[in-house]
Amino acid sequence: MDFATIIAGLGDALTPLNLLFVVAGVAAGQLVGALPGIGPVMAIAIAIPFTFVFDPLPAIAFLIGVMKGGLYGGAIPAILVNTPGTPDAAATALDGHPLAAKGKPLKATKMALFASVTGDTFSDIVLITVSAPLAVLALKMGPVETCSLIVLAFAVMSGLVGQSLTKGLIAAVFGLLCATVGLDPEHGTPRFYFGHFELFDGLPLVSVAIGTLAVSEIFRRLAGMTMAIRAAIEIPDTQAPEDRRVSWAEYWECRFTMARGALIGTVLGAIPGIGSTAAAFMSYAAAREASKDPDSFGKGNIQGIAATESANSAVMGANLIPLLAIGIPGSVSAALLISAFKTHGIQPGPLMFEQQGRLIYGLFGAMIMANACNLAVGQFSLRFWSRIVSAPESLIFSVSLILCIAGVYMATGGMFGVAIMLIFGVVGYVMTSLGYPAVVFLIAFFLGGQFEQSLSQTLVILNGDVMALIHFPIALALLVLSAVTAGWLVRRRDRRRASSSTDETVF
Amino acid sequence: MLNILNRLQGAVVALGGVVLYFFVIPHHTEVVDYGWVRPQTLPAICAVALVLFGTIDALFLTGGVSLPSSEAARAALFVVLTGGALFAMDRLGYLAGAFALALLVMLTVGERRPGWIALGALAAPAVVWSIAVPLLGRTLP
Repeated sequence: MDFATIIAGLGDALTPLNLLFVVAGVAAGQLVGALPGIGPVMAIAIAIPFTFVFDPLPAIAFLIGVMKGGLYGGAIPAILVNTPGTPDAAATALDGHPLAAKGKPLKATKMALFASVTGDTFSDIVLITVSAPLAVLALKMGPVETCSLIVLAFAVMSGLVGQSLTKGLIAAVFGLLCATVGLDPEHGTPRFYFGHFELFDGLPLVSVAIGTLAVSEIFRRLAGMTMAIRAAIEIPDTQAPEDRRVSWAEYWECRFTMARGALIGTVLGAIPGIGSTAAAFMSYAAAREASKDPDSFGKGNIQGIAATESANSAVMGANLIPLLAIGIPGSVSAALLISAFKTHGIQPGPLMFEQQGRLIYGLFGAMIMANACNLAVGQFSLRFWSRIVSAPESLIFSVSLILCIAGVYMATGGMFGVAIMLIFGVVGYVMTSLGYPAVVFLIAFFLGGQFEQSLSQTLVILNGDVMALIHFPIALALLVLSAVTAGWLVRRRDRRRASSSTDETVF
Repeated sequence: MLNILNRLQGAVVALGGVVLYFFVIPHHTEVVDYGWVRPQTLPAICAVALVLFGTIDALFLTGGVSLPSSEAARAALFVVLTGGALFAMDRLGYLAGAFALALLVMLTVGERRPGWIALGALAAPAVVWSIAVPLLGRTLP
């Protein structure tokens, strides 16, 4: 890719209109992140249909803003009311809430903001520098390697996301099965359309995603609601100036903690299936381990906030590395971005760098802008978000439900898509209740079509002879890696089970 | 009780795989006699995998389940409410259905404050409609 494309792409991003979209996205992300129960994933799922009318770059810039804003926004209720707005903010509550309870809520939330922006910026730099060379490598891969890579992605995700490998596999198989609805890729014959010709194109991506992620969670929250309003803490007006801000000395003191967190988040984020929650807890544990005063963790240590927020935010940029380099989503948010890309006629993957280079660098420019906006919006709107925390859930979830309906109707162009959304809302609720990882289901559903097509091409290339794989060393290595990964996950699970049963005996 | 439910859901998955293999796939896919990956190939693999993993799950109890009956019943009520609202939207339009859905949901969860109800059941659907139809130029039912 030439330098002019890079400059042109960055130039496309740096326009007042895009800045407006990024600011709006960041503000919306922080707002929904601050609402317990509505994380950035649900916000992106709801927002995608509303962005269809915009040009690709402003639309993607807005969604990137929602993702980045949401990651920080989740820390606000975690710190203020000990109710994490997003699962990855749960680790932030460990030290954030005790610090707020000591009368320093502004210091705690500002440290979360600074650490979040630091971690996010680090992972964006890694994304920008690593994804293009990786894409060049990925372009050398044919259908055989692509098929093996998807098998590896399934092996990694099924084991890591759920409590049980078997249930993870069942969820992945169910996702694959749902992806077979519609015309089959090799022969073009219809499957499982049950008389509904709308299903010739397959189950609508937006309906399945919003149903499984957002609607099922809304039903769960509404069903579990016992009171209409949540209690929020007040931010005292008479705080000492040093308690209202994070000094440069305090920020600099956390530099190694944030660097470690950013590194952990970036490495884990680049591996498909490992979420930001794991990164946050791993970084927290590492910071506690490295600290000279580990006992202060859990009692309002600012280093604990820096560790968790830098790690969970670093996951976001790194999640896009497999998406942009090889076309495989690293997380549900990335998978949702795929549906946004596809809606705008863009096929994610290594060819994007060749065919849509300008857009990719526009996206990178928007990500850098979003980091700056996250810092600015977070600084000025903290008091407003802290009031939002006290909005009644009855209002939040009823509004979310009507937003989902409107969004899916606009995306699919009819009530059929909305009905599919409702069905998958029920499916998502049941799956989650029975311990099946809905995330694995969804990613398998996203990858299913590509998997069947590459499998079909692979068998044609190999002429049905599995032994011919020996001529494809990369594919073979990936398949071996898949088997090793699955084996390692089973052993790790057994060890954990054994250690947890020992703990139960001790206590 | 939860263990029984856990075993039962594994058995249901396995049974679903059997039904899929013997009844659904033959009736809802075309028979093609050429090519390596035929229309029935991947669904059949999925069906066999469901039988296998469902049986393992039923026999060896992996993972946990959390499905309190009272919560599930309330969730079912919200599903029915949403389904009814979608029917109303199809017949009477988005605004009528959304007003009714938001109002019923808020009342069902115990919200009684007129201000919040007005905001959720009247203002919010109107704002969503205003953004979608006049502003973005899209259609709603």
